[in-house]
Amino acid sequence: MFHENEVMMLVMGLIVLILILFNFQRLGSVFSFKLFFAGYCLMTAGWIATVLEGYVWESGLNFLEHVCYAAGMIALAVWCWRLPSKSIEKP
Amino acid sequence: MINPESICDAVFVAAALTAVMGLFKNARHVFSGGTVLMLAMMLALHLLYGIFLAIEWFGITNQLEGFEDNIGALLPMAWAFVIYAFLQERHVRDIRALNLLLERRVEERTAQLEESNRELEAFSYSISHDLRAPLRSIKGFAQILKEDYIGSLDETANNYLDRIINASRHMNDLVEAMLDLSRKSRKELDCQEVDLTAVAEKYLKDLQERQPYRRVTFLIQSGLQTKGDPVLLRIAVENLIDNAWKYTSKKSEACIEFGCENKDGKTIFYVKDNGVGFDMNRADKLFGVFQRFHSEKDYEGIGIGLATVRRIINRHRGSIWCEAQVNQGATFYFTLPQNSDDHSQRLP
Repeated sequence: MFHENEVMMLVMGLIVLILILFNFQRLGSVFSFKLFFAGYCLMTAGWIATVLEGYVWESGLNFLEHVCYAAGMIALAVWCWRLPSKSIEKP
Repeated sequence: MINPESICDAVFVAAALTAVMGLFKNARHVFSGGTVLMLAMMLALHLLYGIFLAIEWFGITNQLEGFEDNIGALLPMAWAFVIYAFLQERHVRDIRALNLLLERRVEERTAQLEESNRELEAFSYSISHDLRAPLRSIKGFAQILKEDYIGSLDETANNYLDRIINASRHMNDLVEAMLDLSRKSRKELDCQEVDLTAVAEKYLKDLQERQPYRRVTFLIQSGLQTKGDPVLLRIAVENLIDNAWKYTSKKSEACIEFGCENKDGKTIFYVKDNGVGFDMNRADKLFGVFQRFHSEKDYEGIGIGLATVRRIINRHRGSIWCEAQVNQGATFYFTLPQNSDDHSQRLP
């Protein structure tokens, strides 16, 4: 069984993922973008797990979903704290 | 109830809070205001989502499940906005970098142009200077030939000698004019207050004394003051008035006007006459060296005056232009920067 909201979230998440992949080179200039992108991938993995848990291995995928969310947000928090605390010369 | 999922949610909320704090501490140094706002909104949504998840998994209440789903659906949107903001920021940065590159290139090209202009100036000066000696020889020997062999030369030979002497005199005038123009271009600017009214009045008085038979009305505005090199500005104003004087010589009632008008905060000086004028289609050639619109028989001169005026006005970082109609007269306008600092840079 699946929720419409969750499927919607996953579809939009995948669209954003494609958008990022298409512009990956340009986004490379964003400070520590790989870490930021890792955070997004983990969140997307969480959204995938949310949808899949309606079909298979509910408890495991549910746990994976929450782990992915937590890991994704940790990556994002690390990214935020790694941002330079002084102005940097932009190329 | 505490379970692995609720622990993960607690970590999620704590990480989201940490991220928000990190964002507000550092992001403003790296990103523009718009991007920081997008990031803050995205993190706030995640934080809210995490709180709702935690509330659900800690078993506090199930009432918030609908809200949680709705916020969850907004999360990818929030990420999309952030990515869009990153791309926009990159775009702006690219444009700035291109502008900077363009400015540097313009500066480089300007420096190259100034350098080559200086070289050209030096070259023309040296050529003009070196041409004078052989020219003097041609003219001198032609004169000697004419004087010493006056009896033995026939009329045709004498005519040829006259032509050689006249041509060499004309060439000497051109060379002298080029040297003079070159000297004026190389002179260091000494900027100070200049009373253009006094300059014009004095020069017109001189002209009137030289040709008292001419009937010319002078309209000179009083109090025309500006900042610039007094010597060069005097030469410029005198050349413009001289021009007006010359090209009104065939008018029975000539009128020469020197004044100024204010337009868009700029003071525009002008010298206006009701002389022979010229065709505006050829105006682009007017300020060129040795350019003449009328034959030398009708109006004497070698075509260096307006070139000199333009060089002087350009050196002051001003601009000069003209309006004219055939047989209706001509008006020459020029502007000079009001701020004396603007004059300080030497133009080639």
